[in-house]
Amino acid sequence: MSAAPSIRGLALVMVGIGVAIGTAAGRVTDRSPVRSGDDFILAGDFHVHAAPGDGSLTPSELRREASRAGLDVIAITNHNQVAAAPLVSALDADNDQPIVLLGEEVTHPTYHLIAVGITRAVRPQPSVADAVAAIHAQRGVAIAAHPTRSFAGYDEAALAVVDGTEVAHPERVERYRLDYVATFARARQLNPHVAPIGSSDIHNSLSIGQCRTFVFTRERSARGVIEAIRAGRTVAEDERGRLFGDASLVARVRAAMPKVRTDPHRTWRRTALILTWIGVAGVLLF
Amino acid sequence: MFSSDARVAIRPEATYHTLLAEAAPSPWVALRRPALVLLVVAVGVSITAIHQITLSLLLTTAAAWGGVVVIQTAIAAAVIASAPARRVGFVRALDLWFAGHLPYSLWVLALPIVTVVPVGTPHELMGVSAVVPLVWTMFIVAAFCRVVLGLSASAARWRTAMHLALVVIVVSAVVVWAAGGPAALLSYFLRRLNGMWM
Repeated sequence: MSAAPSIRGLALVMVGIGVAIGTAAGRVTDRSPVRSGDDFILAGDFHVHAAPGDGSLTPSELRREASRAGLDVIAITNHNQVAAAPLVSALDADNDQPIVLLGEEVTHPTYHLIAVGITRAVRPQPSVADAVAAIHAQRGVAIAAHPTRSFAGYDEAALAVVDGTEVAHPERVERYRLDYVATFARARQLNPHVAPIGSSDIHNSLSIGQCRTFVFTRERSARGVIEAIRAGRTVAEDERGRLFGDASLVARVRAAMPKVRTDPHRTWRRTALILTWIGVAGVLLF
Repeated sequence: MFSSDARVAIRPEATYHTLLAEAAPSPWVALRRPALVLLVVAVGVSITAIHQITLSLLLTTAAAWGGVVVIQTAIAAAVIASAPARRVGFVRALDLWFAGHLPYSLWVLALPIVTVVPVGTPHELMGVSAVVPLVWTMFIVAAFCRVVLGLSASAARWRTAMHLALVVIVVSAVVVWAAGGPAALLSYFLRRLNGMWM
């Protein structure tokens, strides 16, 4: 037996062991939603990209990862299309798993607008107000996505009609972070019930739930989540742990702060990654 | 010591001559290279996306991204089928085509590292770094056309250019669709150029 097949065989064994360890360590621990008085406090991420689209993972795997990240609800929001809709519909309504809502990132040169709770695609409209009306016609909610000042569409008329704005969004540039906060403050002046939203905008790299939204709802259901956002009963959290929203709701989140990550097998998961990665590289090279 | 795929990546022309002299595998065995590509894509995407490897994640990711292998096969088929003077049968030629996949495979495996570089966005890092396998593969395709398809040097250059054009067209179409259309993509680039967007 030559050396090359031996190395390749060893590499294949490493892949198998890596996948086995990863599968065993990747089991998600069930968690119950946090209660606060008569309300559930559901942790949500309403800006998640999926395959097919510009996200890497299917809705089913995103739901599993959301559960691992301590989320109770996510929305699949690809750019100007809802091709993932059949995959979202096919997910079983397992009460122990996060709720997955169908959404869209309505993408126009002058604005990006998150639609959550829709059933069919929303075409980009010339104005934010028209797009919001189209979303409301489907009984969905409209959230201003990463509203920096470079998006000219977010004028006063637009901010008066959106249901929420992303005040927390993963950000490396400080002035954009300030833009999000300023836009939320402007929207609050026009509409006191506008919901503060925290979202990850995950596409192809590790960050689901990095920023998140705590939703105060009487029932753990898609409709309950939509109604809570529409009523502005949310608190947003950025990646630094800062909270945005009504002082009373922020206090309730602080008092009942949901556990963020349920990842008891981190070391094993990393071991699985290294073994699998080296194994596949070995199969390729030897 | 190194695999034939690795040797093709380093010395494409000489290695293709060696591989041509070997007995052709059965059609089923010829599936091993596309299958390996699918495994690489599933592992690379899973690790890049969520730093996680499970069997279900690999299977669903392979299913979701299987279209990549199908598209590559279709492009390869177009290049191979239009060369009637090739020195081997269609299936063997397809097998040897996938032997030249190492640059893209290494790129996919490197994505978990590339995308955490604290410059630009992961999308941009992927796009910029893709130039490396794109250019590297051009040399392999040119050698494939000369040795396996039996083309002249100038004809091989044309085929290589055609292959490059097909890849760029298909990838561009997918990127434009995923970004929400040409206007959305253009406005993204304009915002980036103006330094107004992350």
